[in-house]
Amino acid sequence: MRERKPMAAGNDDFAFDALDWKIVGLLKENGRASNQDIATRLDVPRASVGNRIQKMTEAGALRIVAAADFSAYDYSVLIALAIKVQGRSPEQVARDLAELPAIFAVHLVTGAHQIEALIAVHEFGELAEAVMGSINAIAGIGHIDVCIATDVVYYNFDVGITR
Amino acid sequence: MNRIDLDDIDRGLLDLLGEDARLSNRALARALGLAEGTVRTRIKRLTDRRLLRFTAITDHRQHGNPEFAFLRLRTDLNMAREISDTLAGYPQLRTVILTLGNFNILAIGLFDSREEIAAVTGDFLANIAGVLDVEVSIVTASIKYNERTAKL
Repeated sequence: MRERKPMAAGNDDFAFDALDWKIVGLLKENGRASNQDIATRLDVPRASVGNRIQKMTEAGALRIVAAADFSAYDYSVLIALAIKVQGRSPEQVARDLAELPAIFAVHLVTGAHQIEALIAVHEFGELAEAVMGSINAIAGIGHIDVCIATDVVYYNFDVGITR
Repeated sequence: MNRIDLDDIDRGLLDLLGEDARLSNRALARALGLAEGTVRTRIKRLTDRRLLRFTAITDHRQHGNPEFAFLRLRTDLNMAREISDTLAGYPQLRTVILTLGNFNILAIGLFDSREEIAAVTGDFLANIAGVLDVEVSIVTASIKYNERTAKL
């Protein structure tokens, strides 16, 4: 079986301790909390907050991000694709898909299909113009099962994939 | 379609913060040629309107050796909304989307083990009234995931 976490830029041996988790907890609430705020709330020196954030970040274990709502970029159409691959390695197909800007997530999966991909576009017209042409040009795509998102009920993204 | 009235300043901030969420207000002001107070006001307005959120993303390996899985559910159509609310309350399911298509609900979960996936698809989902069919796909490798845009 293929190793699950091969492309790691991070350090596999790095593990958070209790204070790391407390700092991370506050950063998940507010990624722009200053080192001083965090230090005061946890009653630890400011320098150790800075050092720990730096170490976690450098190990690839933590990323502090600004996430914009889909609507901030006028993304109003969200589509989930279940893709069956034929005659080509699913990983190569997934890498080709990942190149397309409209595709914001691509995963290799087990089951009846081999790839799960999520597409965000501004309007349906964009699918015909920009997206379907590019997808159809990728070799190895056998069948695509489409689900159009009508309502995102719940969305939590605070655990990410290895970079 | 709800168009959001963001201007170039807002978009400039979103772009810069998307690259580095901890850039200081002063650095942002300098990069965009704005007053620091404007940057502060704009960021506050964007976060108050829930168009922007600053958070920390932890690598999945810090959570043990979890399994990501996509669950596609076929449900009684009249009950899809109610079922999706039930799923949203289940801690391992981190994204729940109502969909139009071959399936009615797409849920994405982060599980501690394959046994836990089996427990969720077996015991939990099977006992929710209106769930007709569940298709499970376990993620073996994540090729791309852009968390710069999300449903906030």
